Amino acid sequence: MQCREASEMMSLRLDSELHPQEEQALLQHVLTCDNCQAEWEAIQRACALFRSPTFAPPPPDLSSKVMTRVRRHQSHLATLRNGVALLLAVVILASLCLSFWLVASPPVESVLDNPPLVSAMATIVVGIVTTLVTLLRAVALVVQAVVAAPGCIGLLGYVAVAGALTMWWVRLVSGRRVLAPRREIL
Amino acid sequence: MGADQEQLWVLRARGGDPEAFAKLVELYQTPIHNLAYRMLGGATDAEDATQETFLRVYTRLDTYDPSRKFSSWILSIASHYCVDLLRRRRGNWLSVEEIRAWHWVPDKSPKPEAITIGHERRDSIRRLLDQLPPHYRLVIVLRYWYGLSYEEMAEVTQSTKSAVKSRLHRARRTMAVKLAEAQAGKDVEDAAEERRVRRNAVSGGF
Repeated sequence: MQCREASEMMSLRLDSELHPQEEQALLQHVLTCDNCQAEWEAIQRACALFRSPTFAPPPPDLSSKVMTRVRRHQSHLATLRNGVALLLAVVILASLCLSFWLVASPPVESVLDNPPLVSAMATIVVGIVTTLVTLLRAVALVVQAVVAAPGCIGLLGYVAVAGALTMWWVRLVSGRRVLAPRREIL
Repeated sequence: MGADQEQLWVLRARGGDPEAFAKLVELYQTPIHNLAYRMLGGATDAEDATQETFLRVYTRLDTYDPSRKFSSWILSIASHYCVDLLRRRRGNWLSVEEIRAWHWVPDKSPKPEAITIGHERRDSIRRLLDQLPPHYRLVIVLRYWYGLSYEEMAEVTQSTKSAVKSRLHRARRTMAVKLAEAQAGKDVEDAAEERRVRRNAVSGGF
């Protein structure tokens, strides 16, 4: 047996992972090799320190601290989610209002056609506004189609869209009511 | 408490039940805190690491696979966190080459059976663990404090059984070298002390 092999087997021996024959071979080698004998003793000495280790008790308030952190994390998430939901709702409502307004009033371009307004910066603004207007017109067309539909079908469409939006909004804002801070957990 | 009860808590915590998660925290705070304490060495660090581990457990509950043991999963999150933290600290650890080249000499200090107890033993353990690189330290802690098998250690450390064996072997060898080194240093000190005492005794005679 090589010393290196013996050295690797020592660790297995400590975990009782050796076959009896291997154990015998290791013992034989250790008895005949001074260096390995010294190593075996040193390893045993070091590992004997770890016999019957003890678990230290955790600080008494640890679990409540953990739950406080988890709750704080949860409320941050809820704030973020509410913020995003609010923003989305505002954008959707604004586009709906604008689309109604566009159906009823003349296009925005006529106002922006005024030459004094068209400076270098205004060109960019006009570009953005034109894109938005095009998008809104598309929305307006859809809305018009719904409104133009005969009788109660159009109304039903409106109710369905409004209902879906409300449900979605309620779900996003209230979320899973996880770890509501007022609840006494521990 | 059975494993079924535990799985039930896990499922309920996943569904957003804070009381179920609090139960899991109650159940695992001691093992997690002790792992962090053995790995990081300081009480404050251990407390922070425990909190961080549970926060990670909470946010990752969705990724837990119920066919695995929950204890292995939670220990692996804690282990990963501690190893990462230690690596960023870059301790002054011995290299594998230094350990391999060590020349053993017979040690005349007390036999393993007569090993010290109490404070001295605790300090020795602390010193030895502190000198081990993170991955070696982890297998020693998992082996001795948690009594895990090679398979379980492989699962917790997300490596193979042979990697675990080799790390354990190297870790033990490193500790043996460190202990022998300390002993040699102590012998030199003892000899110097003895010489000094003898010299004083001799000069005192005149």
